[in-house]
Amino acid sequence: MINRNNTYRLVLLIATTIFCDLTVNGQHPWAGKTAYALRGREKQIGLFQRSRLGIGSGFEINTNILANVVNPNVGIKKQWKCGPKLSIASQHSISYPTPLLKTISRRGPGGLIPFKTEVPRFFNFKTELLFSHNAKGEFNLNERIVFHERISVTYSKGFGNNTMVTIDYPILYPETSIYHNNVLFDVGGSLIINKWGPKRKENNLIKRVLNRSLRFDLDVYFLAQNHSNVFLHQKTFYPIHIKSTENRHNLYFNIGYLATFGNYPFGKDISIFPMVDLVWSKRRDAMH
Amino acid sequence: MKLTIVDFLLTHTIKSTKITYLIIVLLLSTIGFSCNPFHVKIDNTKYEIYEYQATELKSTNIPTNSELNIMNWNIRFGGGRIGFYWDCYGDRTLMNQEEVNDNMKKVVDYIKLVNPDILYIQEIDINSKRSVYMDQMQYLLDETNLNYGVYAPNWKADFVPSDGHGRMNTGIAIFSKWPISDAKRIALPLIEDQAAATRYFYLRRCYLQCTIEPQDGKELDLLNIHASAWAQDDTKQQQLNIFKEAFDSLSNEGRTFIGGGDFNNIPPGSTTLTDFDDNKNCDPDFPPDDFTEQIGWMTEYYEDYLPAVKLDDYQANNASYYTYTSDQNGYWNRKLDHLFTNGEFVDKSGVVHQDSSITGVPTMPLSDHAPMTVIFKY
Repeated sequence: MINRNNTYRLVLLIATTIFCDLTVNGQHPWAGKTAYALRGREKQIGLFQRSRLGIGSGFEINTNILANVVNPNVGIKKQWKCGPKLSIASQHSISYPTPLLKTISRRGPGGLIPFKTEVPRFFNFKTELLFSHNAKGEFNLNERIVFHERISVTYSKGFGNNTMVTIDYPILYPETSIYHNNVLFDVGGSLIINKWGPKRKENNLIKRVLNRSLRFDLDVYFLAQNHSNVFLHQKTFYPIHIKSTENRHNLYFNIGYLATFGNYPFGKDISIFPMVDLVWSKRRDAMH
Repeated sequence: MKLTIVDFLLTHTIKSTKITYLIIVLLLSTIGFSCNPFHVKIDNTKYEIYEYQATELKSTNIPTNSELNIMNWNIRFGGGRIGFYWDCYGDRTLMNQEEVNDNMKKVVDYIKLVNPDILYIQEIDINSKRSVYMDQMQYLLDETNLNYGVYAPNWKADFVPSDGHGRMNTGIAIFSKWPISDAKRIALPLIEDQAAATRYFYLRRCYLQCTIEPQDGKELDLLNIHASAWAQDDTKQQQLNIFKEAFDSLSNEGRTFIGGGDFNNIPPGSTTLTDFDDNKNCDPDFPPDDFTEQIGWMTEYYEDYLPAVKLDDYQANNASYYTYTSDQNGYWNRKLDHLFTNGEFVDKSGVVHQDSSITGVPTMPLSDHAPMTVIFKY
């Protein structure tokens, strides 16, 4: 018989993980936060992360489907340059987090901020510049090493009285502190190592799915009105990749962790959190 | 150059799938380590005892007349008379900086007036969002004549995702003018009849035990408890029994002790057991006190040990010794706080500071508990 406490811990772990992913705009092993936009009719559906749809001419629209219920959001990415060594794209998104903030202002479990908090109508605007390049020259997501860099600024404008308090939990604090600081800067980079390990065809299924890629992300957040507060988020993902036979459908089960460091209202803190995600993608034609 | 090094490492160093498995194990281990993402657990280890010392030590003499002034107080984490949601008189969860500073100043001013040699405190915060992360232990030491303190948390979490609590580190403490040794935190049973989610983030009650030695060769053990409130099952009875067993154990070893705190229970012979006048319109999650089934739970304490307020005195006039009310516009209406010893208290020295008659300062605005003091013959 399963212990009730263990069951609860498992549920809590999953819930925490989901919330972490929803909140920190988790990244996909391929296209999320890279300068790569999906081609026309290509699509990726993320369970907790942003889903994306290529609409051609270097444009892609994306949204976090699950979050839309309480945090309507949409973004558009434009790939400006796709060169042999460097690709550049910009992404612009808008979100309306007020329903989410009102949902977490409540009595009892789920009340991240006190009930009866006055939450204004917030609109968040985010602009990102994205750069991608790799070691071998040609832009190709299947290269063994791919680098991405990004810089973003998020501006939040509230309409109405604001009695919100900060949410002093490391994974939530930087991105929710904009409701007090208005502007948040994020400078980050990713290192994706693909097809690492020995180059040989593995007949063993377990070895085959394990022997794929690894992603390291580092984001540094700065609060506009408090420059002394710098927050680091370091994520490491291991995508377990399952392909359909014709390579048109791809399923990624990402596991990893998020490590955070910063100077929070309660003092300096370093923490580590588990992260999991499921991403399905469909390609117009096989790239592999 | 950097790319070349990385490429070299990938090509020449990582030649075995063993590395792959190692990374997988490390990732899974990380997930395993972070299975307590809110850090709500409190162990009975030395790491859960926080030892404090005043920034500037005050001179202390060997106690005069071989008497020690003992004080016990639930200070409500500097909440004064703010109406919190768990009371029947408010909806607040958090305080602002001005409120905390103002309330804590009043608390330490009162403690300075009383000038205790030993101080038992319940509900003191050291790093909680609700009290703007004030380290109330250090503040209290620096602002009073006390020099040393030990703290044991009974509610500690990186983040309580409920009611807007956020970060929480609150507990019980013992302060002394003399150095404190052998401090330990002893966990008490958890409330069983709560939903799993509530229980996971809920208080983990404990008692705190330590030793002082005001005079060479004369050790004195000190024990402080804050027992469960709102328990609907027999958890509180179990906690009180365990605390009583600690008394018995020390007595059997021939050691002298003073034990006390907020027992959340009333003495035998109390005239009012339920329907307290400050318990109207309470939230169902925080039901009103009803001691009808609990009236005997303190009997053995009063029978086996010397209380600060003798039972005869209390039973002759309950109201003079009441220590609690949640309604600042009412008056103290039940006695939840107690001090006991297997040594000797000066007769009739046990008093409850219900108003300004003892120090000239009214106590009703300072906390929902009244301080109590007693003189211990050392």
